[in-house]
Amino acid sequence: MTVTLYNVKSASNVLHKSYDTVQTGITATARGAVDVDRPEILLNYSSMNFNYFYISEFGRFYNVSSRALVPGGHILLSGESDPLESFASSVYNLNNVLCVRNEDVSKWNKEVPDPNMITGAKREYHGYKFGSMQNVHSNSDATYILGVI
Amino acid sequence: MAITTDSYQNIEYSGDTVSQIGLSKTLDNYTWDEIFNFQYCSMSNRLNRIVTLRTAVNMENSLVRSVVPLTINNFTTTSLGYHFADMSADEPGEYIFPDGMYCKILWLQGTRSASINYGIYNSNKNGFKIVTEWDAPNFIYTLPDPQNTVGDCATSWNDNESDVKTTWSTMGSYGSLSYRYNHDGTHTDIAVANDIFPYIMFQYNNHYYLHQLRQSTYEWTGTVDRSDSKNTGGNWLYSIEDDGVYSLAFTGGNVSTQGIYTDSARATASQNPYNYRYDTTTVTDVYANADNDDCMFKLTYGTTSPSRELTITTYFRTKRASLLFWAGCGVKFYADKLYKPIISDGFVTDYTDNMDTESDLDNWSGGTRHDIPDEPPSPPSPTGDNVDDMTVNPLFGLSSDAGFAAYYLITASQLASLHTWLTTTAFPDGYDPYSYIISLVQFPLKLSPTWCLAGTSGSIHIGGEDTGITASVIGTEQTYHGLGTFDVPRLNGNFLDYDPYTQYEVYIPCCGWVTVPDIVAGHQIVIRINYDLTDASIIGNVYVKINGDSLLIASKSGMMGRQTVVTGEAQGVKSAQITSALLSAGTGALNVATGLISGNAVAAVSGGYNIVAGLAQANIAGNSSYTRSIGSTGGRALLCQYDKCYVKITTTRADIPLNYGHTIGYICNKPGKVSDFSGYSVFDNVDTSGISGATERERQLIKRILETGVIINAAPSP
Repeated sequence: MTVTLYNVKSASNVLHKSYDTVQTGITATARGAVDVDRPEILLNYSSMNFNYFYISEFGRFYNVSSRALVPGGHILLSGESDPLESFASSVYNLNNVLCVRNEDVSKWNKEVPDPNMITGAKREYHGYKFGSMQNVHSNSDATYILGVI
Repeated sequence: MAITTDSYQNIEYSGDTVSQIGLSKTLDNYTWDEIFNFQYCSMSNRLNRIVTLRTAVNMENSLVRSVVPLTINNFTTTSLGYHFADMSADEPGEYIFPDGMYCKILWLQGTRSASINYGIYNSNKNGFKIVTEWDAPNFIYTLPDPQNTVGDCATSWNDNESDVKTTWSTMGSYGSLSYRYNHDGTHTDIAVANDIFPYIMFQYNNHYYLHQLRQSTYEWTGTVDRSDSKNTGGNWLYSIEDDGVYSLAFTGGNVSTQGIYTDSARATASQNPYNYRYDTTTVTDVYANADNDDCMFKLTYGTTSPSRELTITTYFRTKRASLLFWAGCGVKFYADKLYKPIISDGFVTDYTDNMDTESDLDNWSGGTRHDIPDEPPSPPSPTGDNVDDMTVNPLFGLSSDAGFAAYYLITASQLASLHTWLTTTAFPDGYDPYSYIISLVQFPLKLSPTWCLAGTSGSIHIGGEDTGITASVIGTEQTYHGLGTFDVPRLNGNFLDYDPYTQYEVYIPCCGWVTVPDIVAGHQIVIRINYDLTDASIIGNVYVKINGDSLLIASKSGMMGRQTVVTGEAQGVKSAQITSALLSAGTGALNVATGLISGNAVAAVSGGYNIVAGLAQANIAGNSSYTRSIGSTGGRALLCQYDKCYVKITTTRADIPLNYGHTIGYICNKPGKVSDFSGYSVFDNVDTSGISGATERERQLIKRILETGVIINAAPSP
């Protein structure tokens, strides 16, 4: 198997992660049956300067779950597949999803109540004056309606 | 757009739309009753113009003060060049004029080739009609004349540009000044001020912003809150957004700033409408600033060569994500476009870019320049947001139609005459005028005959007796009265403006407070009172205008006037009773005489008894009370309440963390592709079954991540 080693900087929930390539074209040997989700392989590499790797034969990225130096200058490497990155293109083009929340404030649907947003909210009072009855302020200016029969 | 009292109007001209921002303001230190703001954007063959006319009006004293017109001409998107705001007043200061008088307030000389005349009608204190007339005479370039000043304000104008007053430190009491400042050759800032409202104008990213500030002598000192600021090379930047745009740039000590602006979409578009962009590179002093504190800053425009300074001070209230100006008026002008105000009955009701749309502006032909006629073209009718026409609604038949009763509209002096007539007239025996009076209702208003559909005047007849008092019988017994309109602001601009986060209440004079539904948020409400002229009972109604229709949303009963007691003595009844008794005694005397002559002792005794009884009855009649009382007292307390309408908004303010979008995300609820979104996102309706090559475990894991929060970066370049 051919393995590429990386140092990933992004969090696990990032689509299209950012990473630096440490070493390409490293040969690895299977130790018995290799689980595509959680592979355990013997790496023909002796440095521990990576935290992420890619197995060409499986077409998948893996987070390093454990690694141990074994006699002969090899590393016994275990990994957990990262399907978000392995199938990043398919995920990125996934259609008919409903975006419930988003970081972009311009996409904020402000008319929908957001229970998280009112945490710590405070009450304010505003008053406005307008209009007028055109009241008269002198008794001599008042008018009357006199009803007679 | 209706002109509302006690609220500033802000018109935003942007592309194809004209919208009202609706800036609220506080009049804590302001003594004038009403603020009218009239703004006009127009374009002649050569010029684009924005005109702002602000008028402070004391309605009660019919006093107009500080009419502040401002013209800005020759707008281009590249340079303002010589096109500065120029204000010239032939008659600056206060204007006191009687009812109905038409006043030529100001003659403006615009820059280069434009002018404007304003006419303001004072219509029986019921409203002001603002009329503009455009002209393009040969323009005289003017500047404040340093030879004629009061304090620091020019009182005349000089067309010699080099002969300008060089230093302006404070605004004077009256007069006005204008100033042109082109500080770096790339853009021009304009500052105009008079005793109340200074203006500043900015250019920023090819957008021009006119901001009207409010001068004050109030100074606030305090500690600058820098808890959310950072020091960048000696300048303290106060961040209002996490997008790298800063609102205030402080320098230490008694701080000053090199720039005040915000370009944040959130701040300008969604967070609140009160933000304005600033781009001032030579400015300013900020005396103090702290979160949510009232502050003042002073803008000093000027260069050292030549020395020209203009100092403007204003209030503002700082918030983490906003600058809330207490006074302001903003005009944004994004592109050359002509907007025509639709003027109806003296008020701008809307704007349109269709020049064929009818407007009273088209009908104005009152002259040019100084030739505005002394009299208005036609008597203005009572108009205005707070003086809506009294409208009658004679839906039902009148009592008088059936012959039962007649209702007269009378004044206080006529009422006094009626009292005199009741108490001094020698009525025929047996006539009781009080029995013909069924009600007397006093209104704290000047009910005009027109409002009451009063007919031809005639003498008041009470029970067939002519009082000799001339009055009119009203033609309707119910009518309604518009008290005013108000554009209810959306204080948050989001869901917090609605129930249960915000409650809206309206005070209706003579009725009291009434809760209205949150449908009023962002809409105009209209207050109308329906009332019964015969007993002064009223119903106050609150309508909301939505898509041109008025929808009744709340009602409350009350009393607009009061029943008045009519008292007096029925002299005619009294005299009739006495006369009747005396007649009885006279009949007895006749019987005595007849009995004695005929020898009929019984008849004589009987007659004697009738004499005694009749005289006794006459004595009783003379000492009896014939006082009459009609109506009742009480029910006046409501009349002592406020005579204006009020809106009270109890709202909820959310203190939104700056990183809210990144950590929790703003509610979005938009369908689409994952690639349509970026940054932190939470999805629903995720179907991963179509992801080829993934195991079921991997599909479930992808689904879970998308539903619990994923950070989406753009796809890397191939």
